[in-house]
Amino acid sequence: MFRLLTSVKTQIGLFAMALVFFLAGSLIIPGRMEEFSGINDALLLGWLSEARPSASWWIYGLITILGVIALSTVACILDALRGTVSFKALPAPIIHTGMLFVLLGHLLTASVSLRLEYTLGPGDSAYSSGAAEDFRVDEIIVRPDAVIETYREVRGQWLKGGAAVKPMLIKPGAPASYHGTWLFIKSADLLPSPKATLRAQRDPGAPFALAGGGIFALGCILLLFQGRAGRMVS
Amino acid sequence: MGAVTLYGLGLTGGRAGRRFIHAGLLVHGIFIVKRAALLGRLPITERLDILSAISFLLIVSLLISKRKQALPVPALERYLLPLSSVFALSAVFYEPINTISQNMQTPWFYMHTGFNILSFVLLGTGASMEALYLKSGEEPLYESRHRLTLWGWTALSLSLISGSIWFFLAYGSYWQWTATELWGSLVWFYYGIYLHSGQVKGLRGWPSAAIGSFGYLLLLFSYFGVGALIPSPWTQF
Repeated sequence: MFRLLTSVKTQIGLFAMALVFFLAGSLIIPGRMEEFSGINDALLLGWLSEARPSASWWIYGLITILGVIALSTVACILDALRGTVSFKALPAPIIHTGMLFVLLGHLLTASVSLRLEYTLGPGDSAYSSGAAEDFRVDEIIVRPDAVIETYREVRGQWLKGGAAVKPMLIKPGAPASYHGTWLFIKSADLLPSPKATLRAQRDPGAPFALAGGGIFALGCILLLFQGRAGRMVS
Repeated sequence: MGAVTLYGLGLTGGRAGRRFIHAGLLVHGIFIVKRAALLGRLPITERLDILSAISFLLIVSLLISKRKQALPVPALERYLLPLSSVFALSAVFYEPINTISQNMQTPWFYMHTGFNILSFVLLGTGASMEALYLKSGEEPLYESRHRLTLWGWTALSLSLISGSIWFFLAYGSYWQWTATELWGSLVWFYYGIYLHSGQVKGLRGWPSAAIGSFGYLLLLFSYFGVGALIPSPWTQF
């Protein structure tokens, strides 16, 4: 079994199966836009529990294949660590570890992330009974800009027990974060009255995916520095 | 258009052909510098500029490859000049956009598009060498195209990673279930197969080169075909 999981041919076969599911998904989603309209706003596992199998079968297939790829990746890492650890053999297990973290991140995001939405004006506060950090909006800035057409910014305070604990500044592309809660601007307008729609979000998978991306990039760069194109896999 | 004409004339070969390529590169470079001056930033945020940059860098890659390659590779022009021209001509179909969205004003977005451009250039040069290898069987070409594809795949990976970080900071999500994302992953996994195929005895040589050059067709389809042939609406929040 271990030999099978570490075989390059197994990896190629698994990747090829993943390709089939990616292709199926890319063809199924456009034909069933209504069924898939909520998938990006909901927890994946929650969406899957309500989706019709005729629309979601390929996601189950993809999750299964990615699960086996994760197992195979663990086996490859163990296999690489069993041998003599040398600089030349380093990139492959690093790249595989990065991939494993990315897959773990996706699993956590799909199963335990949280998204809340609020439309608030200056002076309004958002309380979520502990689901996310509380905050208050103090100022909404919207003004025309020659380069970006419209500049948007929301200022406020993070709250603890109703008291302000930390200033909060959110811009499109630059969310605010505090104790694992992220705040994003969905929209902000001054008319008819100043209002901003904000998304509060907790995503325990994001740090794992980010770390995975960093580890993966490190492995790739080491591989390139070695200049040993053929030593990609275990 | 002037640059494309000059690149086309570069196919005549010889010293005159080389001069046409250099002249095309100069005209193209002036266009890019003028766009940068107009925008006041690196012109790699909109389709027109991205396609233009890919086209320009493919020619730069051609000139570097010709200089670095141990064996003479006159035939490389036959692949890279038309490929570069396809990118330049497709740029003509897009209106110049001189503004930028507020959530694109982050280094992550520039890294994403920068690495994406680089991956198209490196994988395109690698695919051209693969096509040449399939035709000529020259062993040094086999090594060069493998190295280039590995660099290209790394650039593609870094583009996906920085793109995910940018998208998370902009829209709170590092993955979207859309045809665009699925095709991006499909291409990445396909190149994963290609890189692993070098380890399998039966796949070395021309099968591996054929797998690599087909990968570039998939990459081109993911850029031009998805959206045009497979609907993939832009989803934000």
